[in-house]
Amino acid sequence: MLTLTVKDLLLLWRNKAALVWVIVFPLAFGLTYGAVIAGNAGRRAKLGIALVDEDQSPASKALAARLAQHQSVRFVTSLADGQPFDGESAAQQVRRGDLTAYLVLRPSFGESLRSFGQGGKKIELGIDPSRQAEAGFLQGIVMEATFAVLADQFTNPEEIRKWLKVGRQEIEHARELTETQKQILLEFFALVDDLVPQLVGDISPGEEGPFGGLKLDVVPVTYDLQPRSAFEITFPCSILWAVLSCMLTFTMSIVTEQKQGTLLRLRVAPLGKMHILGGKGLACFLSCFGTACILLLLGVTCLGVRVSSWPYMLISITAMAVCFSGLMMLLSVLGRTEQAVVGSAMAIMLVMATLGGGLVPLIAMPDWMLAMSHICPAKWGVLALEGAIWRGFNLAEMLLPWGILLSVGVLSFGVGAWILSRRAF
Amino acid sequence: MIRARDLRKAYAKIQAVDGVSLELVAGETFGLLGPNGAGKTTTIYMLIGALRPDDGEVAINGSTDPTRPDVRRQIGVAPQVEALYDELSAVENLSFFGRLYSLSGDRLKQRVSWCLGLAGLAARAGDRVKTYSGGMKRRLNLACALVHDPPVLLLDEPTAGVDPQSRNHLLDSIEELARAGRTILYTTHYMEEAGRLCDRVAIMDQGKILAVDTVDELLRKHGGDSMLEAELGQIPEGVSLPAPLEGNMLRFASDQPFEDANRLRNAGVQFVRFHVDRPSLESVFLNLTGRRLRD
Repeated sequence: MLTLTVKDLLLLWRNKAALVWVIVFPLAFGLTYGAVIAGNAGRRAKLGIALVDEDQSPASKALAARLAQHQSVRFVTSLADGQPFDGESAAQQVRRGDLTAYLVLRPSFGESLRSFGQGGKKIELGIDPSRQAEAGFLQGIVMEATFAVLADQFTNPEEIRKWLKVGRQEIEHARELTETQKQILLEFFALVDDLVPQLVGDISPGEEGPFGGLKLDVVPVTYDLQPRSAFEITFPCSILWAVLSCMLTFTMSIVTEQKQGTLLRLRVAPLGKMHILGGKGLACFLSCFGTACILLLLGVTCLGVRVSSWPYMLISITAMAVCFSGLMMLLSVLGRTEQAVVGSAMAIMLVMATLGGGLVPLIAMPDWMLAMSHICPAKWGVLALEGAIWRGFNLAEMLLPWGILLSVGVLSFGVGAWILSRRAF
Repeated sequence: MIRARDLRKAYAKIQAVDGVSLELVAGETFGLLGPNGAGKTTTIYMLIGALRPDDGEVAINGSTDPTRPDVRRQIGVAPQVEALYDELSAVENLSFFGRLYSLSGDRLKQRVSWCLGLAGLAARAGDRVKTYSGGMKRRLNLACALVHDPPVLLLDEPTAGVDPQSRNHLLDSIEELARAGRTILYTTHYMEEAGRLCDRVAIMDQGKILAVDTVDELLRKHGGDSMLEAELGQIPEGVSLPAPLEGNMLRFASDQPFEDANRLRNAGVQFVRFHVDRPSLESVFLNLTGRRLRD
C-alpha cells in the first residue's frame, strides 16, 4: 500500500497544474482575500457614504465633522474630479455601487435642529432598500452625531444666547400672548441670559455628562479571541481550497487510472482491492494533510496567524484530511466516464467551497447561507480550523466538527470503495 | 497451464463471449485471432480474474481462482492500452510494478535492467514516458508485464497502432520470450503475426471460437486451395488446360499448384510468368465466417 501511496504522491508532485491548484492558488487566495478584507494593508473596511451639505450652517458643518470622525464610516464630499456632490450625483454614485449610501443635509437643517426638528425632514438618507442593516446602522450614527451637536450647542454660551434671542423675538411677535404674559416671559429669558455663564460651568458635554446619552457597552461574546489579522480569517479558507483541490486531483487520478489501464495492472497484481483503494486514500489523506500544514506554517511564520491550540489544530487538519479523502472516493464513482466524474466533482467542489466558507468566510456569511452551510462538510472543516485559530473553542465545542468530519470521511470512503470495487474489481 | 471451459460473458444484451473453451500447454504460444469486438479482450480479462464470467471456469496451473496472489505472481499482462504512468520514467514505471510483486534491492534492479534491454529503452530509461513515441510506449508496456519474470504471459494486441520498426522489435522480443519457454497467450487481428508467432491459433468471432489448431492444419482444413495465376505463351495442340483461358491468362484453384504447373510445362505449355496465392489465415477466417478479418 505504501508503494501505491508513494507513487501517487510522486505523480502529484510532478503534475505542475495540480500543484498550482493544491498550493499556489489557495495561498494566493488567502493572501489576496486577506488583504481585501483587511481593507488596504490591514486597515478596517469602512462604509463609503457621500455627504452633501446644502445648508452650510455651523450646525451642519458640525454634524459633518462629527460624522467624519466615526471609525466605521468613510464620508466622501466630492467626486473624483473634485466637484462637490449634489443630491443627484451622490445618488448616482450609490446606484453605481461606488458608495454604500448618501446623506443630504437640506437647507435650514441648522434652524430645524435649533427648534428640535420643527420645519420638516432636513436630513435625507439614500440607500439600497435591500441594505436594511446598513440603513439602520447609519440612522443610528446620524442620530448619535446629531445629539452630540445639540449637546455642543447647549454648552456654548454664544449658541444659548442666540437661542434666547430667537425665543425673545418669537415672544414679542406672538399674538396669542397678552402683554402681561409677554412681560413675565421676557423677564425670565433675561434672568436665564444672566445665568448662562454659571450654567455652562455646571454642564460638561463629555461622555459622562448629562448630554452623554445612554451608553452601550459592546462586549464580544462569540469568540474568546478576536482575529488579530484578516489572514486568520482567510487562511482556513485557503486550507479548505487546498484540500478541495487535493480531493479533486485524486478523484481525477482514479478515473484516469481506469481509463489508461494502469488500474487493470494494479488489479491483476497480487494485491487486495483494499490495498489499492487504501493506497489511493492514504495518498489523498497525506496530500491534504501536507498541503494544509504547509499553508498553515506559511500563515503562522509569515503572516502572523496565531494558533490558539496546536493539538486541536493537528486534530482538525487530520479530521479534515480524513473527510475529504473519503469524499474523494465517493466522488470517483459519481459517473462512468471521465467527463461525468470530473464535471460532477467540479460542481460539488464549487458548492462546497461556497457553502463551506471558501468564497465568503463563515464570519461574514448571511444567515440563510450560514443555515445552509450546516449540511456542507467543508463548513465543519473551516469551523474546526477557526476553532483552533481564533474562535478559542474548548474540547467540547471541537468535538462536533471533528465528529462530523470523521463520520463523513469514513462513511463516504466506505460507500465509494464499495461501489468502485463492485464496478471495477 | 491455462485452461478455460465454456466461458460466457454478456454486457447488457450483447453476448461478448459465448462458450469459449481453450487449453494452453506449458511453453506454448497460443494465438487468439479475430476482428475487433470478437471477444478476445473479454476472454483475457476473465482468464486473469479482472472480470467474473457469467458462466464457465478458468484454471491456471491447477488453481481455479485466478485472483489468488500466488496465481497472479505467475501471470504477466500487457493490456491493449498503454497502461503506464506518463509522469514517471521507464525505470520508475518498471520499479513500481516490480515492487507490487514484492521485488526489491538487487533483484529489482536486475529485472528492471533486463526489461529495459528487452524493450530497447536503456538509453531513454530516465526520461518521462510522456516524451516517448507510441512504439516506445508499446515496448515499455510489454516490459512492465515481464518485470516480475512470470512464466505465463497474456498479451492483448501488443502491436496495435505501432510503426513497422517497433512492431518488428516487439515481435522479435516475443519470439525470444517464447524460445525461453514462456507460455504466451497472444491476441491479435493481424494474421501474419499469428502465423509468425503462434504454435496454435484459435479463430474467434462474435464471442465464439470457430476453430483451434496449428497454423498449418488450419490452412489445410479451412484455407481452401491455392490459386495459380499464369500468363501463358505457346500452348501445344491437344493439351487440356484445367480452366478456360481469359485471353492468354490462366487462373485456377489447386491443392497442388506447383505439381499442376510442372505437368503443364512438361506437356509443352510455355509460361511467361506465373504466381501462386497460398491460403492464409485470412482465407481461413473468410471460409469460416464468410467475412474478411478486417471487415
